[in-house]
Amino acid sequence: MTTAQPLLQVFGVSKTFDVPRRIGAPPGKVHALDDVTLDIAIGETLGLVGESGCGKSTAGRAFLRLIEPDTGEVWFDGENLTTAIPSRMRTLRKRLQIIFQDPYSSLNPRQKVADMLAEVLSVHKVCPRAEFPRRIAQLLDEVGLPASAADRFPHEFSGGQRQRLGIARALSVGPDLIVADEAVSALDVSIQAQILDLLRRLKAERNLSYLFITHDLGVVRYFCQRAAVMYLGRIVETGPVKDLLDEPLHPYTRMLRAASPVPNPVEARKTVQVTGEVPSPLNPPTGCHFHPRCPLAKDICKQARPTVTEMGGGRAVACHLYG
Amino acid sequence: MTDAPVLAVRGLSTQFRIGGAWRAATRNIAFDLYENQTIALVGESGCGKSITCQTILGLLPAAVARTEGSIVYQGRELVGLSDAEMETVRGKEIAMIFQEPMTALNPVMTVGEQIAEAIRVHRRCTKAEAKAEAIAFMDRVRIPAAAQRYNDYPHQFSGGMRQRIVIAMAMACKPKVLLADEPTTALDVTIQAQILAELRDLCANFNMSMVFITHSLGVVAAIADRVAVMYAGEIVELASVEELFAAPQHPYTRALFQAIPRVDETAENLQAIPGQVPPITAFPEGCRFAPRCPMRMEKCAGRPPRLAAADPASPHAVACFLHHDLALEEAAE
Ligand SMILES: Nc1ncnc2c1ncn2[C@@H]1O[C@H](COP(=O)(O)OP(=O)(O)OP(=O)(O)O)[C@@H](O)[C@H]1O
Ligand SMILES: Nc1ncnc2c1ncn2[C@@H]1O[C@H](COP(=O)(O)OP(=O)(O)OP(=O)(O)O)[C@@H](O)[C@H]1O
Ligand code: SF4
Ligand SMILES: [Mg+2]
Ligand SMILES: [Mg+2]
Repeated sequence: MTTAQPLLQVFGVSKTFDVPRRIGAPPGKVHALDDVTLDIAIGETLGLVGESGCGKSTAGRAFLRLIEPDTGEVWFDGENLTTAIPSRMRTLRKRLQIIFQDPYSSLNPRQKVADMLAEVLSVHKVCPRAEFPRRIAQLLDEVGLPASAADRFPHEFSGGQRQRLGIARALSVGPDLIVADEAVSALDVSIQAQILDLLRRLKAERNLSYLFITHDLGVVRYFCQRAAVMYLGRIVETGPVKDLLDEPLHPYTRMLRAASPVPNPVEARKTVQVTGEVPSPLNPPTGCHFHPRCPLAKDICKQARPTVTEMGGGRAVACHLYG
Repeated sequence: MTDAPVLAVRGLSTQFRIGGAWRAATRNIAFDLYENQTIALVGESGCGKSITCQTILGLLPAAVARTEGSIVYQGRELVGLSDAEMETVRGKEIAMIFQEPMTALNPVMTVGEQIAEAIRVHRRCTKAEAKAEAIAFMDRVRIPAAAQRYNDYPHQFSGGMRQRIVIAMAMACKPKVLLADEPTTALDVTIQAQILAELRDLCANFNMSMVFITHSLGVVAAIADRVAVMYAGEIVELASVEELFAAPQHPYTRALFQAIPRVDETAENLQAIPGQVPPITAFPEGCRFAPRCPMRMEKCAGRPPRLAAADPASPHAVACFLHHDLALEEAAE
């Protein structure tokens, strides 16, 4: 969509995890990311969607080098993050922020909100110490929390309020790229709308970019310009949001789209056709990972991994039905 | 539907000690839950949904919180029971799925063992039987290659996989009442649809009832029989799911419907409700939604409207002066 130079470029990133099995047996391998390539332009919001456990959080963490990819390269603003030395990484952290999926375990339970934010502000030398109280009150206000929240501990908040503390922390340093991992999933629709508007405004004012991980296709449609669909560690479709949701190309994207709940009790109870077992990342199906569940699978789908086919209009799909 | 409710909540209020004074986080919560029924609790972040469920299970420490009102489970009053007495209710009778899975999981115990342990607490069986059953539950919540991942630790699971382990633990208790606090927020739409179907099955096959907290009106539409809409610690509208979606009455409920981002329509702007939810130390006097309500009238700032049906014959209740003139005689504080 955008012609600007990419802020983040990811080339062929893979990551596997060892998981224990019975004592004595060799460990199993979870293929969390399998040759992931994508980019995000300056000021662009890329939505990342896919089934639970398909590797979205692993992707977000690997792109920011919070975990080390096994292979592949990640470039940020023209600089290779994969080979950056630790001191350089620390400097870059200020520009690369993440909102963690699980706010509870990412907040220190013994630290008051004011101290938590003050620590981030001072580590990254965001503003003089004298300005901290004003800056903290402003951050809390932006995420819809009262100034009195500063004196409270994380456990004294509701789930959605804690999620907003994580958002305030990521915004506090004024980053260029935010990986938002299910950042608005615990919020009611009204606060969600406020937060999305805040994130949009920051994007317009500061040219912020986002990797927006979510399972809510409604949020993707509203908030993202492009989306990438992931299945079992691989990107299977990318494209401008409206095209991707209105005319999904990949059979998996179509299934996701059809299973999206709509706020209507009659429609919502029609049993959605979600066919097939969720496959295991320990032992992924051969060929196209989706073939055991795909209503359109052909013989070749069982044998060969489909390559990425450019479909024009900024769309791309990895499926044997195309190309 | 003529039998007694499994769970009857009346005049329930949970208060926190803040700066030396007791402040009510919720007020006058009342609803009935019948066998094989699901009531959804919806409402803005911080309005008291989780607190209400934690209060039903008596989980808030007496030092920080106190409870007023009544919670009758199968004819037995739960408010005032000792912790030891509550232990006989928790899990087997009433189980809870917590909003944040990591608070419910033991980080140094494998996910499989945690489910097996939940099974063995409620039923005598051998370790091998519990393990086999735990794997069956992992399958039911769609963990791929369940047997191979029995020995994984929680940190090796994705957010949504952890959430499903917590669901499996609650299922393993085979409770009469399940308090499910945002159980599917971390799940993608396909797995969410499958888990909702599993929960509906449990209700039908074991006569289970659910209090289901969610902020997704799509999920409400798929799972609930009745819906209680909460705002600032109170129920402001209570209706059958069909009624509520066909004709939402409270201005807050209507505003909520306006704010949903939809997968089938592109919107330029979502209609966020202007203004902020008041903190529990600063609830307004009259209708708590008044400061943000586009329909506000003069009397709204006076006394709080009572939750009641506009038409006495209808079970669709709303707390709003637009619909009836009932004011709460005494604020329950
Ligand atoms: N530290 C780890 N050790 C072993 N396995 C891991 C580890 N972290 C993640 N995994 C596995 O990698 C896979 C992908 O996990 P990830 O957290 O990236 O999924 P996700 O797409 O974010 O899912 P969700 O939507 O449920 O959050 C899962 O099978 C998970 O169990
Ligand atoms: N231990 C505590 N001390 C003081 N206030 C508390 C405490 N726990 C919760 N609260 C407050 O009580 C109110 C209700 O919290 P609750 O967790 O029930 O909200 P919720 O409706 O579940 O919201 P969410 O959708 O964000 O999870 C919130 O304003 C919260 O800040
Ligand atoms: S490659 Fe084959 S199996 Fe895979 S999605 Fe396309 S048609 Fe279906
Ligand atoms: Mg995740
Ligand atoms: Mg909650």
